[in-house]
Parts: sequence; structure tokens; C-alpha cells
Amino acid sequence: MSDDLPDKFDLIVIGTGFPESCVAAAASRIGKTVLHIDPNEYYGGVWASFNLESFCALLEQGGNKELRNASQKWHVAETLKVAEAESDTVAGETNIKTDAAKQNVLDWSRETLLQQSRRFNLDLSPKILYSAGRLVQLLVSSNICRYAEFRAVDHVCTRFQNNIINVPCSRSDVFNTKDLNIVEKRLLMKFLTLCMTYGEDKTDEDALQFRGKTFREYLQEQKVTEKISICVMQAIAMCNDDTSFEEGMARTQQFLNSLGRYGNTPFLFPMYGCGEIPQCFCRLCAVFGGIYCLKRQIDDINIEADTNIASVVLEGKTIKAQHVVSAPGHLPNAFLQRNVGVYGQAELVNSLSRGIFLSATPLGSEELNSGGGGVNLLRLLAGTQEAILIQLSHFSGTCPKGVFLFHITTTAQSDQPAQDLAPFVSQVFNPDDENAPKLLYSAYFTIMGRERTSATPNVDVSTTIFCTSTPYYELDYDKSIISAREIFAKLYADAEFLPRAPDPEEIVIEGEDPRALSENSLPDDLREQLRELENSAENMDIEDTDAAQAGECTQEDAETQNMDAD
Amino acid sequence: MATTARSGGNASGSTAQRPNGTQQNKNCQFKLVLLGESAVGKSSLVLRFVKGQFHEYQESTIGAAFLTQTICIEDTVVKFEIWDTAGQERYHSLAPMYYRGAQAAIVVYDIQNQDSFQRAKTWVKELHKQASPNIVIALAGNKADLSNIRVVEYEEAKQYAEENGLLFMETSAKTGMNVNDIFLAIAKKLPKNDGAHNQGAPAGRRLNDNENNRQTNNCCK
Repeated sequence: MSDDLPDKFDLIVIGTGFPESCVAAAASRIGKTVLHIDPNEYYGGVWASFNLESFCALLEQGGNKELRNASQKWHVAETLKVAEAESDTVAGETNIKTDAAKQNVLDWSRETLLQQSRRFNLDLSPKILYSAGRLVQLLVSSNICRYAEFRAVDHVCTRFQNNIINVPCSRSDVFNTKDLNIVEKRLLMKFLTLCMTYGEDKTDEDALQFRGKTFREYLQEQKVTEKISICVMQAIAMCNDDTSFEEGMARTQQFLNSLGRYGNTPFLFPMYGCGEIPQCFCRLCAVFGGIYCLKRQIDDINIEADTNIASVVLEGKTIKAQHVVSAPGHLPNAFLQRNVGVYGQAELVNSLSRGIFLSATPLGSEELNSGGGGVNLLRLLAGTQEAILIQLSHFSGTCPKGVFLFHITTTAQSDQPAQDLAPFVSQVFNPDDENAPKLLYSAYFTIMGRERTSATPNVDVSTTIFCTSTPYYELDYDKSIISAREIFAKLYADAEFLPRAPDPEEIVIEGEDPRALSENSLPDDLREQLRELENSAENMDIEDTDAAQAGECTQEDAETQNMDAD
Repeated sequence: MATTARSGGNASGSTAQRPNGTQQNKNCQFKLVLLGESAVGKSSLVLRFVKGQFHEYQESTIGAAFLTQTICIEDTVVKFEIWDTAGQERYHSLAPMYYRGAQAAIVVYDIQNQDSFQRAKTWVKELHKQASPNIVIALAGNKADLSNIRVVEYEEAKQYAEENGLLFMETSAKTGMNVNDIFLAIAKKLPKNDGAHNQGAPAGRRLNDNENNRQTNNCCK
């Protein structure tokens, strides 16, 4: 099968996860010849999404090198018939709501869920994107964005006194929310406006006064209520008690900066799951000539001492490359054994504890799930630990209608993901709480990673072989993009990282007027929009975030007047 | 007209389905994917359709792999967003994102190559498994200008197409035979009253769509 592959490339990339695909696309884009291999038969490695059947099979076989400690449990019967029989035995329940919830559970069995297997896209490493964040900027600037579709996250939530409440993001949200009283609304608006304008004046008193203090201390000084404080700390700035004032302010600004771009919240989720993202980068790589081979085993890698050229042995065939970039789990054992210590710890360590849950009912109130539910984000706290929960409905293309998919992610504390996640799971799937979502299926696993010891992550001293980083505990892809860029910069020091790919209208086929191809004559609009994204911090203005419609303005004005009357 | 990127101030705060600008004035946009073994003429078919060109020694698809063409049927403007495989099919490594949201597919084989016809059948199966259930599939027996040295009989392919509910034509990217016709036949078969999206299928948004609309939205500075 590998016989007709060329025997020489500029770059061989092993693994099709996010950072590997980023580097492959970037190299191909600047004209390097790229061979992109994956030992798996699917794209994405530990960044992939699976349909339900393949996901169950992966856990059944105990995962792989990068995914370990797997366990899964069905909370519904094998088939519907059995379930119906069981429902007779529990007859006599009087609470209508409980009955309805039970009915929902009974609509599903292991068999009926697996029948819809292909409608599931279960992410191993789910992410949420800031609308003006690094990944969105990169997708737009590189023009890779045309390969993917997104859904704006519907609600950002937080837990307050055992209830899950909506954190108002836009100005109209603040006015419409029932979770805040009028005084709190004013306080929140005032506080957010303050954050927006913070930093414009370098001699800002607060900046001097709070330097070296925590963001929490700053919040306390602003005399906001407990509820507002929780909204800001947990959902907007997403920080902890010891987060510094500067960091908290920067995060708040990142949140506000991403508002008003695509939806009611500052966040996006990729349609059909995050597994699409690396594939989009792979497509760009292929479009510019990259060659793709899945399901290929790397037997060994040798480096010629005098030239530093790598010889990759691919199912018996030797292919030479200037550079090799590999996901940490895919470097061949034979190679690692000869180079102990050179490529860091060969053994992967526990990195992220993950839980995937299916339910027939959503989390939180009807208001948070209007229209059949959407994509909701909730940051959970338990002691000093935190976790990110993402709820997905069928509108995100990741599960069938009538099923809700929950991802919970936290930093791994042990090799028992269920135990690491238990304090968070009990907050949302408490079986004693009749309003809590009733589980249909649950699964736990650990995403393995490399030990992160230095501040510069995962770039090796070797000039030939580079190892990418596994998923970080972070909402967006920021750190992963930074580390991919670092590798690219080591490979091709002066080259531009993913310059804009031309639109179809700009592509010139042989025989057409070549003037149209001049890079400089490319439409300025995208470049300008990008500049806008980058400079948006300057234009930031709370009025602006609210692409206000005339009617909305009037309504708000009226409310403002009411408030003033108070 | 400006389609608002935000759902505005309605109490529900739902961001469910927004108008995406492709449904007005009977403008429809469809994603069409090309499938088929290497060197059967996928890119050549598209180049003939989009640019009216043919090159005997067309290089493997580089840099293109994404073209658009607009055709009019009666009162409807149909814009095809045509995706090429970008060579990912060569080592059986086509990314599943390729099929996402595709409303139409052309599966191409070479009438001089029996293997490519068998491979085409595999692609059709793959589409039935992976793609949207409402996808319109056309089978194209390409290189019909070389019909004197054909190995795949017209009747055989036609029968297979009928049994599997596919549109079928023999085409030649070289002479242009049936190239526009096959795209037109697909356009006719696609549901247009429903806009660009299949019934009940989840619809997302493109990032750059918003960027294009954004300028007009900042009305309340």
C-alpha cells in the first residue's frame, strides 16, 4: 500500500490531532511537501469525535495509548420491551414531573440509542471557542473557516445556591433576566462597563491600587452582591480566589471582547463536534498538496548523523524527511528506547479526567433550554478543583433529537477519572434531585499527556524531530495554537504561519489571466475584518457589543428610565 | 439586506435558527461533493462546469478543491459550492467532515476502468452510510469521448443507478458532453422551497458570513 508513496518529503507528520494538523497545514500552505500519517483509522487522535458505537467499542477495548482508565455504564435497559415491563412495576408514582422524566428515560434503551449511533459525535477533547479568540482569528485569517460551521453557545450558566442560573451576557440579557433584581442589574452593568474601559487610561487609579492583589479583592471593593460576584468570578472571568487582579481583568475583557459577534454569548461550538477542527486543517494541507495516509504503522525512525535527515520506516518502506513532527503517543518504541531522555519522558502521564453523559432531559430550567435546548456552558467548582461542563443538544449535530450530551472535563488528579469527577457529577446528576437530568449512559476515561515541566511546552531540543502537545485543560485552543506555532517557527523560522488561502473566485487555472493571482490584489475585506478582530479591544464599548435593533433600544431606554425612577 | 447576527432582545434569548441570507428571493446554496477514484476526472468535470476549460494533463488537485458555480432554473438561483477531495481519497483517507452537510454528490468513474466503477459503488454505499439521508447522488461515467475503448457498459451502469436511486449520465470533461446537464439535473432534483437546508437537519453558521454582515450591524454606536 505504501509502495507508490514518494520516498522523500520536507515534513512527515505523525498523528492527526489538532496541533499536528495545524503544523501540517501551515507547512503545506507555504509549499513544503508533507506526508501526514496516522496509525489510527480515524482522524483526530485524542482530539477526535466518535459515533456512539465506535466510542463504546473504544472504551470496551480499554482505550489506547493516549486514552486510558476507561469505563462505561448503561443506565437503561437493553431493549425497550424490557423497559416497559419495568415501568409497570414502578407504577403508582403521583408526581407528574417525575412521571414525565421517567417516560423520557423509557423512550430510550441501549438498543434504540445504538440505532442512532451515527447521529452522535462524542468528543474526546471538547472545547468552546471565544468568538474573538485565537482559534477563531486563525480560522478567519487562514480562510480555513469556510470548511466548518459553528453554533453560538446559547447560555453561559453558573451555580448559585444549588440552582443553575443564566449569566446574562449582553445588555439585553441583563435587562431581561429574572435571576437578578434591578439593583443587581445596575451593579453588573456598571461593573462590566468599568471593565470595558479599564486600561484605556494608563494612569488608572485601580490599576495602581490593585496591583499585586487578587481579582476577588477587587470585586469586593466594587461592592457587588454575592450573586454578581459569583457570575463574574465563575462564568465571565472564570477565575479562582487567588487569580490576580490583572489576570481577572484580562479574562473579563476577553469575554466582553468576544460578545456581540455571533450570538447571545461570546462563545462558539463547532457543529458536529470539535473533531471537525483538526480535519479542517488537514483539508487545507491536502488542498495544498499534502498526502494523507490513515492506518499506517511507523516501525522506526532513524536520524542520519551527518545530515540530520530522518528516515521514517513506514510498514517496511523507508521515507526520508527533513523534519518529523509527531504526537507524543505515536513515536515508535524502538526509537524512544534508543533516545531515552532526549525526547522528555517517554511515558505519558494522566492529564485530563473526562466524563461523557447522555440524558433524555436537559440540565437546568425550561428557560435555559427553550426551543429544545442548545449548547450551554457551566463551570463547576468543588473545593479548589474546577471542571468545565458542556451541554449539547441535537442542534449542535452531536446527538440525536431527544438526547442531551454532557461533557465534563477536569485536570486529572489520579488514574480514576470517575473519582476525580465525582464531586462535579454529584452537583448536576444528583439522583435524589428529581429535576436533575436522568442518566441514560455514562462513561469515564483519562486523556494522557506529556509531563509539562518547563514554561515552553513540548518543543524539543532536537532539530529534526518535534513532539506536539496533548490537550491542555483550557476552554479554548489558545495554548495548543501557541505550541503548534512554536514548532512551526522552529521548522521554518521566517515563514508566515497560515497566510490566507485564496477564495474559489480568486483561484486561477492555467490559461486564465494571471494578474488576478497577485497576492496583493486579494480583496482587502478579509484582511480588514481580521484587523478589526485584532484591534477590537480598542473599539470595545458596551453599546457596541449589543448590535442593537431599534426596537430593542426603545425597550431598554424605557427600562433605564424605570430604573432611574427607582 | 442585512441579516442580523444576533437574535436581539427577545425574552427567550434563544439563538436557534436564524435566517442565513440564502433563502430570500429563491436563492439556494448547496454543498456538492465529488467522489471517485483518483484520475477518473473529478477535477476536470468541475473545471469544465465552472470555467469551461479542459486540460489533457490536469495536475492532481492543488490549491483548488473548492469552487462555486451559479445556475438558474426557472425563478431560482442555485449556487453550488463544489468540494473536491483534494487527493485525500488516494490512500483511502478521506476525512468524514467532507460529507458534512452535503446536499448533493457526484460519484465519478472512468468508463475505461472497471475498478473505478466498482470503487464508485463503494462510494455510493459510503454516502448512504455517512451522509445526510436526503442527499441527491448522481453517478457520472466520465471520459465518454473514449467510448470506443470502454469497459463499463452503459446499460450496466444505468441499471445499477436505477436500482440505487441515483441520477446517471455518461459525461466527457474533454468535450463538455453532459457536464452542464448533470449539474442541472441535480439542481432540479434538490428541494428548493426549503432553502439551503435539509428538513430537520441542524444548521450552523459560517464564521465569515458574520464578518460580512458585521459592518452593517453596528447601527447604535
